[in-house]
Amino acid sequence: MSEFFLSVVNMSIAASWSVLAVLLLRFLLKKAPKWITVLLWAVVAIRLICPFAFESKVSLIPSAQTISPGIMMDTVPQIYTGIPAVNNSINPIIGETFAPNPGDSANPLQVWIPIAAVLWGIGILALTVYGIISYLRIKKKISTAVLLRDHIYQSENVVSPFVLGMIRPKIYVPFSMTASEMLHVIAHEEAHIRRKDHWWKPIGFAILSLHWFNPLMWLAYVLLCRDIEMACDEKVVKSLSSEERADYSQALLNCSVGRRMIAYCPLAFGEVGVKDRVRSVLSYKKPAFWILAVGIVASIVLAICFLTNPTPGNLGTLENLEFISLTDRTENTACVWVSDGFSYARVGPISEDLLKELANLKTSKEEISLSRSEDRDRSHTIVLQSEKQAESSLNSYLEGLYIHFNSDFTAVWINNNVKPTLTYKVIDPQKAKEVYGYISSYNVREPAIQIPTISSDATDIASLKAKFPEYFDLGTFKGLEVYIWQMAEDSYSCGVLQGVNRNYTKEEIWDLHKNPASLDEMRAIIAYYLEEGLAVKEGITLIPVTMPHSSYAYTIDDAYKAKLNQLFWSDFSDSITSYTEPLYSSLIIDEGIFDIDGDGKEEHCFMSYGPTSGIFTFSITVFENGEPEYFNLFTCPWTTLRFEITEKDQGILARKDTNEETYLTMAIEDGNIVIYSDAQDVLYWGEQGLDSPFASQWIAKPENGYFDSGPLKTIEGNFRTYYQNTDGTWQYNGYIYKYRLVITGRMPNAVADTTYVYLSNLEEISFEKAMWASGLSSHMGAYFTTVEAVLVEIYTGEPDEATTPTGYPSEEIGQPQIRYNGKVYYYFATGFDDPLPKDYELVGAVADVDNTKAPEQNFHGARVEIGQEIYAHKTETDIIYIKYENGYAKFSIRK
Amino acid sequence: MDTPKIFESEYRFCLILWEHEPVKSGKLVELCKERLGWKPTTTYTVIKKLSERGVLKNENTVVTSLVSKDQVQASELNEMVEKTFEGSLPAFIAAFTKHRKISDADIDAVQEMIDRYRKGGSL
Repeated sequence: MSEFFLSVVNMSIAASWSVLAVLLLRFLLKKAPKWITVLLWAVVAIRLICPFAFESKVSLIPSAQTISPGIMMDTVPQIYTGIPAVNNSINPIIGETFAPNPGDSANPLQVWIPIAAVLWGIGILALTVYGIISYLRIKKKISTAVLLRDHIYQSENVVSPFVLGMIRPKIYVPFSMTASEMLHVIAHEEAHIRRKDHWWKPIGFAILSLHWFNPLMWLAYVLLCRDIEMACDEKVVKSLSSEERADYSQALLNCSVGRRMIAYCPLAFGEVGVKDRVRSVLSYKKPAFWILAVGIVASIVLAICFLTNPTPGNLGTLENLEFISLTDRTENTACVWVSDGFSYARVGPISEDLLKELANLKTSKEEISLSRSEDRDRSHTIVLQSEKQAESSLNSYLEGLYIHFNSDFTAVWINNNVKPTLTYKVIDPQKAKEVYGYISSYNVREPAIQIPTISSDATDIASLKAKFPEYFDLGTFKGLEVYIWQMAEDSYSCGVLQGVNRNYTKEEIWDLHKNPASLDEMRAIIAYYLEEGLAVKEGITLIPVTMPHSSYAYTIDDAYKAKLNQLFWSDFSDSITSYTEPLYSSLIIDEGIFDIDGDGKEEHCFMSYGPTSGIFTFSITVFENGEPEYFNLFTCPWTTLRFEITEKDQGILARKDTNEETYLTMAIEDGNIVIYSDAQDVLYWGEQGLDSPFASQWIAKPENGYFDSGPLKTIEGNFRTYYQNTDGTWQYNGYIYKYRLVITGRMPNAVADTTYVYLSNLEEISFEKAMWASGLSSHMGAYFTTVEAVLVEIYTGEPDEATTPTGYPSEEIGQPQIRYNGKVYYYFATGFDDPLPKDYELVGAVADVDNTKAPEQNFHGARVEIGQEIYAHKTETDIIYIKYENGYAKFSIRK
Repeated sequence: MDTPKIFESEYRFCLILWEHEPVKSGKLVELCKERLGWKPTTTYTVIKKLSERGVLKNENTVVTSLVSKDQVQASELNEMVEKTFEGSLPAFIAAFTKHRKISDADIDAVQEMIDRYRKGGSL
């Protein structure tokens, strides 16, 4: 009911604008026939009962929905009148008056609006009852009216003649009228009937009762009645002679006076005085044609301007951003990224049509917030980059046009990094969500990359330098790495990077596809280096790789390597046989520790990319006690996968397709990992099992920083769990690190030191670098690559001796932990002398301690003392406190 | 004896009665429908009202009058008019004009306007 009420209010407001326009036109069209004016009121009436309207650009209605139906849910209620000046003066008051009190979930309007709706209903009822009662009273009074002729009746209860009855209208006149009066009066009433006024007036009254709260509508109705009367007068009078007009006027006067009633009383407001009507009648002249024409044209214009709603804006033209012009440029939008507010994923260039769909999403013309802050909701972001912006963005902040939608796609704002726009309402959030979904599921494998056709004569160094500036002037002191991937049977693409101490990441290698060189071109480039003495043949390594968008090479084996070697070097006078092992894209996607085969022991599971390009494949390798136990290869449609551990400590796969996450379970059957998927689209690929040819290649190897299958010593750092190898190196996520660095320092304005523990292949890390790379920096270049270093522990205060992993036998547990209420709580490493926070109560004490395994019963623990008191909170179940000598220590469940 | 008051419409009814009496009420209904345009219920109501007022009597569905034409006071007819109808018409009724009280001055002014117009003068 409240919604209906609000839509009536909105209609009333929209119609009020038309009433004002009609008032103006009435004044200007005084000389025009009154029937035109009555038509104008018809326009108003339509606006008052019809909630729908076409949209047009010439609409003069400032806003078709001043009060949004959702206003009761808003935390800052606002109205959108369509006039910024009015909005800015009213909305702050509304926002303050009706803001929910902090702590309230309801906005006060949720109470007031329903009350208003009820009052409105009462008003309608009252007016309707009045109408019905009046009608019945009249009917009673004229029940004894006698037939004069046709449909005309006379009654002693009639003072002023009138028409009654909608279907079979009858005219009622008094007995005491002269013949002349009778004549004119009846002519007037007949005119009413012919104009169907016996319908319009009651209908108008009914509409008025819906909009009784709007004083403009009362005015409109009163004026409508006036105009109807004068239109009838005109209709009768235009065919009367001047003497007859005098008689008509006399009749008017007599009827309004009554034979004997003469008393002084001012005329009521709105009533057409007899004086005015007589004056009009006596001075009536047929209107000139042009007046008629102007009147009709004006009415049509008014109808169009006020019967149509304003068109909403659209995304592409918000504040004149005109980003749709991106599709008109000769270069397409080169690069598109999506973000969920935290991390950015590249989805590649998108088609023009999709970009147009995005730009044409409809938005309100009016802003819904006056904030230009950059901290607004960025739950769904799309970044559009031109080629130039894409190039300059490699390792730093993404340059481009940022389009931010909020979590439910009802609001949008855009930032072009010069000036952010205001926030606008999205008219069709469902459509926006759809478009966002399409864009974020666009991936690099879509045919958006143009493979440049390279002529085999492109050996001119100058033109090569211009075309591949990034492949020249490379530092060669560590050699050059030439990456080659196969696109088709006889088509190869290459890129070259300078040699470095580490392995290049998958992303860095994939970036080479942006500007690939043909074999000929790459040979020419390498020849250049050799000829100039910048590099020697022994320093050039050929690395065949598979790229997801290239559809050719599935396996890179010895034969393939040899073929490529021959292919590349055959044009050189010396044959070179040196090449290194191909760099597979077998980097690990995710790892997890859980019991996958139900044997009661937890296994260490790794998920890696598979050996194919063109098809998405992935492998799962399972290690138990450091030995590989299972290995299987799967294929499925391109998706994002990771391990997830359920509450029951069961390992499952989480799969993310276009913002939807589904879960797949795994189990072991007959020595193979089986994945259960609702979609039935996860299938085995190639040979399975530890003895398959792929297994020998794809099980992570100790060299090159991969997973060490030697005995593990698990260390549960409070940030990440990592492992110490028997040879003194460290590992995390399959990567080997030479050093474990403990870096302590004081953050600006901190009261205590912060300690970062990094596993690192770099010998030294400064405190500042450690700090920024720990998650504080918004600059992508501030972070370490996975091979360089990874953060495993972080705490404030002095590093406590008890938490350093050295000194524990490898079979024992390092981190203090206690099982309580079915969950294991781990020492949070914030010290042992914290005060006990409020509302924590003593719930028990440590009953048993076993340092060799994780506690399996409540009140059992590891690295704690029997008898230590345990304190828990009634509702905050994630944290408990354990009492120590000098205070309390915080223990938390691991998330 | 005081002559009972009769409204104009009732007077028209009585004219029919005087013409046809004594008459069965059913026939009277027919006649009223034809001449006055009354619904049967209206006729019966009027018969009842007039019989209560002592204008006619209705015995065994036969209606006869109790007053004669001459006796009915014509002058009383007009008096009824003002007392029976209080107030103006509802807003949604299409009327010739509202019965409004208008000042002397205005009445005169309008009358003058009309008279001047008849004489062919300006307004």
